[in-house]
Amino acid sequence: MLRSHRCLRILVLFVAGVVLAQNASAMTLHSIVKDDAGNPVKDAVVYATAMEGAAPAALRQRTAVMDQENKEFSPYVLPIQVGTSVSFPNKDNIRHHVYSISPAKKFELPLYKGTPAAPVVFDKPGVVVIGCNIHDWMLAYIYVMETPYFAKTGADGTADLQGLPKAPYEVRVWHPRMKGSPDATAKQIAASPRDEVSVDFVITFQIEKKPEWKPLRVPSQEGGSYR
Amino acid sequence: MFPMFHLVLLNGFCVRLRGAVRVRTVALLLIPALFFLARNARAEWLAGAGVGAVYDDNLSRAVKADERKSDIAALANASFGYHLQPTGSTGLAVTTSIKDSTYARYPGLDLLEAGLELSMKYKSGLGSYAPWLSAFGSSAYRDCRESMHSGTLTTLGLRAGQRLDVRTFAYIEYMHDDARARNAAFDTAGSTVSIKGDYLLTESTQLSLGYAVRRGTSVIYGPVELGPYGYSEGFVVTTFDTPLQVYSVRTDTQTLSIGENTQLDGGWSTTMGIDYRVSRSEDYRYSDTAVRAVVSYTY
Repeated sequence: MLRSHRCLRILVLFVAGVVLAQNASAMTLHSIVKDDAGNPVKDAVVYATAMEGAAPAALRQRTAVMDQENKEFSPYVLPIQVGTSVSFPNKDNIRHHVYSISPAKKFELPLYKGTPAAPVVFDKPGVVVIGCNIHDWMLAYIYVMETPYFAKTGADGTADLQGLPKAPYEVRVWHPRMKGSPDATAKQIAASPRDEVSVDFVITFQIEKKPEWKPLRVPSQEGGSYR
Repeated sequence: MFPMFHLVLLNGFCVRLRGAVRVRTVALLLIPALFFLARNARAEWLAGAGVGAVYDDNLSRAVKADERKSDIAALANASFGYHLQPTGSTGLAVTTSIKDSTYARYPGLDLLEAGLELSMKYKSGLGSYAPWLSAFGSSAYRDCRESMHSGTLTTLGLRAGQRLDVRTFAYIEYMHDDARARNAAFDTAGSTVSIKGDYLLTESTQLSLGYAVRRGTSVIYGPVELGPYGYSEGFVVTTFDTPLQVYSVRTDTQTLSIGENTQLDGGWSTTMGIDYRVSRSEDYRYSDTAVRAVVSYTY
C-alpha cells in the first residue's frame, strides 16, 4: 500500500511538471482595435502568423456554423482556418438561397430550409462574402486564414489570443469595412528569451473604416430587395 | 394576427364613409383566402402599414392659375400578403391593400380603395447586381365620397431593374392603367413609360429621381360653358365648392419625381417625395405639384 501511494505521488508530480512546462512556453496576446475616431471596432479579426522557421500549426477546429435567423446571417464575421467545414443552418421558417462568388470560395446552396446535408469546406485563404439571392440585404463575411491563432473583437474592440506557443509572430487585423490591406497593419512580437510562465503582449490597432453599401431591407415601391 | 389587424383597420374606415359596402366585401373575401393559400404554401408573410399626408396644388387640373384648387389629404394604408419563391430565381408576391385619403377642404374627393396586386419577379443570376424583370397587375375598387367618382382601377405592367454600382439602382417601367367610374365622364385610360434611379446617400437613406411620360385620357375641371339656351350642355359638378364643368381630354403628361426613403430601426421607414407634372393636350396645358410624406412599418 505504501508503494502504490508513492507511485501515485510520482504520477501527480509528473503531470504537474508537464502542465507547467506547457504554460512556460505559452504567450497571450491582448489586442484592441479602434477606428480613426478612437471608437472600438467590433467584428475585427486579429490573427497571429508564426514567423519563418516555426513548426506548422495543426487545424484548430474542424467545423463552424453560420446561422440564418430573422432574415440575417449570424455571425456577421466568421473567422476560420483553412480546411474548416462550415454549415449554414436556416432557422427561419422561410427558404433562403445562400451563395458566394468570392474567388476564395464559390458555392451555392439553392433554396432550402433547415440544415443542408453537407457543410461547405473552405480550402483557400481569403475573404468570402456570403449573400442570399432572395433577400439582397443579407450579408456576412467568412475570413479564411492559414494560421489557427486568431480571435474576433467584441463590442469593446478587444480580442485575446491565448495559448500561443512561444515563437516570434506577425500580428495583423482584418475588418470587412477597413480601408487598405491587413498587411499594412502588421506588427511583430518576439518570443521572450526568459523562462517565464507566461508572457503578455498588448497591441493596439487603428483602422480606417469605409461605409457598407447594401440594398435597404425595407423595400421601395419599385420592388427593390426581393419584392 | 394580421387578418384581424386588417379587419379592424378596414372596419374603422367603413364606419366613417358611406357606401363602402363593396370595399368591405372585397377585403373580407380576399383576406381569408390569402391567409389560407399562404398558410398551405408555407409562404413568407408580407405586411405593412403607413400614415402620412399629401398636398396637391391643382386637384382640379385647371389651366388658369386663379382657377386652381389645392388641398391636403391625410393618408393611411395597410397591406397584407405573401411571397413565394418557387425557384431560386423566380419570386411571386400576392398582396391585398387598403388605402384611405381624407381631404381637408374638398371632402367629396375622400377615397377608400381596396385592391389586390399580383407580381412575378425573375432574377437572372446570383447576387444583388443581377438584373431582374417583373410583371405585375392590380385591380382595386375605389369608393369615393362623391359616388360618381367611385369605380375600379386596373393596372398591368412590366418593370426591369438592376443595381449599377454599390450605391446606384436603376429601373424602367411600362404600365397601362384603366379606371372605370360610375359616371363614365370620369373614365380614364392611359399608358406610362418611366425611368427611375435610386442612390444610396447613406447606408440607410436613399434618394430617388424619376421621369415618366403618360399618354392617355385625363379628367380636368374648367369653367362652366353655357349653351345657346343659357345652361350648360356639359357635366357640371360642385366637388370643388364652385360649379365646374368636367372634361375628358387626351393628354401627354410628363412627371418629374424626387424622393427620399430612410430606413429606421425595427422595420420603420420614412418616405418623402415631390412630383411635378405637366400635361398637354391640343387645347390645354396645365401643371400640378404634389408633395407627400409617409411613415411606414414593414414586417
